[in-house]
Amino acid sequence: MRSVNLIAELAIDGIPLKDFVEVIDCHAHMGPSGVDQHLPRNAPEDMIGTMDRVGVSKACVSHCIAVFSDFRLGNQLVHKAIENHPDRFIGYAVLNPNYPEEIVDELAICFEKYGMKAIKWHGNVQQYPLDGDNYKPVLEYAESNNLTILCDGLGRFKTLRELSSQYRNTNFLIAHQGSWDMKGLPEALAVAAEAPNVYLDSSGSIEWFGGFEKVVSKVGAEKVLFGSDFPWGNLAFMIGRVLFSEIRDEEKRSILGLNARALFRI
Amino acid sequence: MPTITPIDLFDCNATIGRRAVRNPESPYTIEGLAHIMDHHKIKHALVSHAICESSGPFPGNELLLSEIEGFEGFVPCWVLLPEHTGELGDLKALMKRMVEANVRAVKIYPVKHYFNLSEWCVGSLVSELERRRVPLLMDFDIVHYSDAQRRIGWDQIYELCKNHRDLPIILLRVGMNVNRNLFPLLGRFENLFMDISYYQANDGIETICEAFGAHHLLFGTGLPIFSPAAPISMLMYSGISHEEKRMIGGLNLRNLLDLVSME
Repeated sequence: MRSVNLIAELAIDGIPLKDFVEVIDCHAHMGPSGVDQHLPRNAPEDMIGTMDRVGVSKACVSHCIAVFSDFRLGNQLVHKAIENHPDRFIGYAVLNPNYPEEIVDELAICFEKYGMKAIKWHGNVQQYPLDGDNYKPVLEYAESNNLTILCDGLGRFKTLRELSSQYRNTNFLIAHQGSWDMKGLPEALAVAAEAPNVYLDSSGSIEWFGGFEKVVSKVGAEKVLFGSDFPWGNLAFMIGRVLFSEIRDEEKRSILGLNARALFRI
Repeated sequence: MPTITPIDLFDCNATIGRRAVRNPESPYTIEGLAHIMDHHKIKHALVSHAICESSGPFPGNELLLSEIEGFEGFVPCWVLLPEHTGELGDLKALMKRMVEANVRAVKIYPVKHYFNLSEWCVGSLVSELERRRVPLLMDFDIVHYSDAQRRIGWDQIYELCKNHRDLPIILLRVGMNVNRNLFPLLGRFENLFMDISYYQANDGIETICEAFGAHHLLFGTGLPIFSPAAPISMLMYSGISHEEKRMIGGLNLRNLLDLVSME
């Protein structure tokens, strides 16, 4: 008899999770990367095949082209994927603050025409601060519409602490916080534990042994959402830390899907 | 109804022993490692001693043998260096001792131990290993996948694979960003292998199996520093056949160890 719980038992046999627990991936992409790596099988239809194998019902996606080069083209490509597969993909609008003259129009297009549900911001790639003037229209739009912003490449958590207090109707989801080497408390965990509207994405590329359980114990399962970053990374690799973690199945259910359902109002 | 043969997991990338910096959650004893393996249904592990990583091959290699004695499921892997500085003693005597102790695999740390993988540095060592077909595992001290850009010398791996065709070369903990360098090598060399412990490329396992064959991949974890959850999940949910999963899970490593000449 296995000593672990039901969800881990399903995983060790590679049984798709869909019939047992709802899984929503809060952090995914689509499309190719020219930056430093080859992303095999990155088209929406290939991604659905991967999602089906694991049993993921929906993935919240931004296009790699939107993040790394042309935000408007990338948003269009996500819209096309949503049109073709409305039950499988939820769209993140990418608004590049380096093109301030286009932001207001693009916000309207993304949310009124494309049907996107949330916003993706990437500080490292776009090299523009979350609290910069050019991004203010985005924050105000999010605040007015009770939206979630997935924040990737955050440099200063002081900024996030201030913004989360200033924009209380906006949810801030911090990317890549499911992996912790346990050498000092990361600021992201401290902010998420304190601020009611700050959450953590469980992706993160290093699998420190026991690190994920520590993250959950610091912030609570209700503050963590499963994310994979796939096809930038591997969906099954990233979900392993949740499936095999030594936390209760109820906590896993919250992390795998229930928290995302609430945040994205699905 | 046909019976499905279970996937027996054989971890090719595990260590035991204390380190200067401790992950508070990681076990460092053989008992602790055995408990984690049991929890994750890992039946066997090819294990080396952590002392060898930071303090050189001796006394860690001999200590490993005494620490795993009496525990089922552990197969010793010694850590070696190029022989020129005399830290290994005489190469022939070393090989004789490996045969006596039934050590069928070795690991090197070219980054951490700071030596070059060119022929002029490792040629005689790898020739001796090749003569016996002893699998050579290479740990490049990769923590984050981006470390590969600075730490893996692909030209040197190419030369070693080309010059030592009977030597199984196993790359450990290569990350998701290696495909553009890795694939040309997998396409050329049947003696090149890699563990999947950190190979989180999207559908990477599937792509390699389709293009080059499942025999190039070995199940590995990086225990106890890194969690086995991700590689197990990745293997079990991969879109490959059950037989390919069995090969990667353990059969490929078993085959390599069985081919070692212990005469």
